[in-house]
Amino acid sequence: MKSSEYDLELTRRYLDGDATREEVLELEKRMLADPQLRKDFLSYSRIDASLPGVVNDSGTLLDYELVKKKPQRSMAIAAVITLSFLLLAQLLNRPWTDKNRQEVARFGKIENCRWTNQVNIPLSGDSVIEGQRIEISSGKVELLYHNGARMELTGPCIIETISEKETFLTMGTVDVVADSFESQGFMVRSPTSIFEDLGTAFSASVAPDGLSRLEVSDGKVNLIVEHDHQHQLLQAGQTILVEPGERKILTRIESGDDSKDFRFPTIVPPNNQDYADISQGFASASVGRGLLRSRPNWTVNPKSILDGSGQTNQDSPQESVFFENDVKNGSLLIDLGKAISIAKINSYSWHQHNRIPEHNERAQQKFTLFGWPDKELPNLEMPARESGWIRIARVNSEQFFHVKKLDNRPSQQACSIFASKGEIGEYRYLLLEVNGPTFFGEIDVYQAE
Amino acid sequence: MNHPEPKQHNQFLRLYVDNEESLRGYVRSLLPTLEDAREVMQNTAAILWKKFDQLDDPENFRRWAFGVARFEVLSYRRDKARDRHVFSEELLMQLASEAEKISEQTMDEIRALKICLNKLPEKKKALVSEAYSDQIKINEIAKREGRSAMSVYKVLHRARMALADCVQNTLQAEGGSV
Repeated sequence: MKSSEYDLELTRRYLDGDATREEVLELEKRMLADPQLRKDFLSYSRIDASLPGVVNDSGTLLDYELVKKKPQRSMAIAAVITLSFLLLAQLLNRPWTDKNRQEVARFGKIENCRWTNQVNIPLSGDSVIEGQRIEISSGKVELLYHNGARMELTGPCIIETISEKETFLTMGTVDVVADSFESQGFMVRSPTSIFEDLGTAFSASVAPDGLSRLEVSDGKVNLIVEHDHQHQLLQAGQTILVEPGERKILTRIESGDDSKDFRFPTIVPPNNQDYADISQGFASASVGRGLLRSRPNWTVNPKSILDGSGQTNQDSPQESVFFENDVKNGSLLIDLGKAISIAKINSYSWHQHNRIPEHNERAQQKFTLFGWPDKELPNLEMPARESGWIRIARVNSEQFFHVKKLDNRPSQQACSIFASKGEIGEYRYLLLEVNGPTFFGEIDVYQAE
Repeated sequence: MNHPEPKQHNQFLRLYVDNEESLRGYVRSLLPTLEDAREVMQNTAAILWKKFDQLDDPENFRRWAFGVARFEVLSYRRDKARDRHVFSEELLMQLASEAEKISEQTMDEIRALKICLNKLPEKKKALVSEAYSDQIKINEIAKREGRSAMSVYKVLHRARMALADCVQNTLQAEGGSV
């Protein structure tokens, strides 16, 4: 690098997030004037970007370097052969080239798989080693770990085995059964969290944008979002979503007991002690965009979502907040009166037609929750994402409950949105962009202590 | 793209994986910290995924992805400009065009970086590996080693400079343009 020590130290401070405002301005002035500094800055930052991926995948090319240095002719021929073999093997990612990496599993059943790397296609019984990346664009692959854990990948899926007890899921879905004593503690890492098995079966998935989902089908799983936060223990039947981003936002959705008491396994019932409750006198609710249902003898009142209770029966439009049938992407606005630090937001819905059992689609909760800290609101007619609103969480209970038929959807649902650590953020306004015919009964907003 | 066809999903995945490292290097060079870069990469992936059906020709994926990433960096910069020390748009645009030009060589750089990492003295290599393994914080390393966090940053700084020089030399020796 040809730039001065001082310039490179400024570069480091900027890229490590240590630079003061004055140092950033100084570095910027120098970079605008000096093409060499820009070039060095780019080299330095690109090294910084590549290192996380490289440190988990180094080793075999050291052999390549050693082989190249050998001078004798006979040795040189051998070296060329070895080198070719090593390079080919490196290209094909074959395990036998690597002396340092342990075999952690073997490929089990492979069904209708399409591999991203078409050069070398693994077969059932082949080794899986530490640090191996496995990418499939369709089909299913089973990995049988030596500690007894079984993992099934459903394409498209990308994983990387970190060790015998740890795998990184970059994208896609994996189903894990780790019910033996030896496999306890098996972990699946995602871009947002760690799912730690406690003798159980679970499914983990990661969307292309980093949204992670954990669903426990048997036993218990520990969810670790950040090392210094309180872990979430999930039991059989429970599912949780983790939003990517600076603050890790968790979403829990549960089905209720279909009574006016709105009882859920872990989510508290509708409450009149939350900050946004009408009785507290701070908050108000209104329509951001779209038209609420209106009939000659009654009109939906948006304030019902802040009245401290859900509906009193399973099919009660008068006690629900919902949009006219032709409204797509309507939005509900909650003004908290001033910016407050929010700990948790719960939403509740209930709908089951009195005579037609499969008619309960108004129970679903499909919305995106946004926040806005300032007094001046952005344009509410535009989609929130385009007008600067800060996205807090995405909720889709249909996906959550795997709803495929009309009648297998819970009629009473609650969604709880909270941060893995501390508060969700400080906001004056909350906006729910609603995608669906939901009968909302209540929304509770809890202030952080 | 609300209900992608499996075929589109597969195609997206393949194109994204092919270009992921180049995009990561590009985004990182435009933002102050690795955390910022991770967040923008996630947003970029989400937008590419959402709008993938608007891409006419998969051949144009790379150019399109860099365009989206550049836009996301600028929008992230605007969001953070109020409370963070970030470069002006003028410098960012200049860096973006220069970074885009060299992004073609990302895979060569990564290959060279693997070689160079192995050339570092063992202690330094171990420190770099730990610092970038995403599991240990600098403060924890400093505490364990009985030194200040700043001195660990300095060692890392020297290691990164050595790696940058080594990568350039390796690529030059191979006849690539640096």
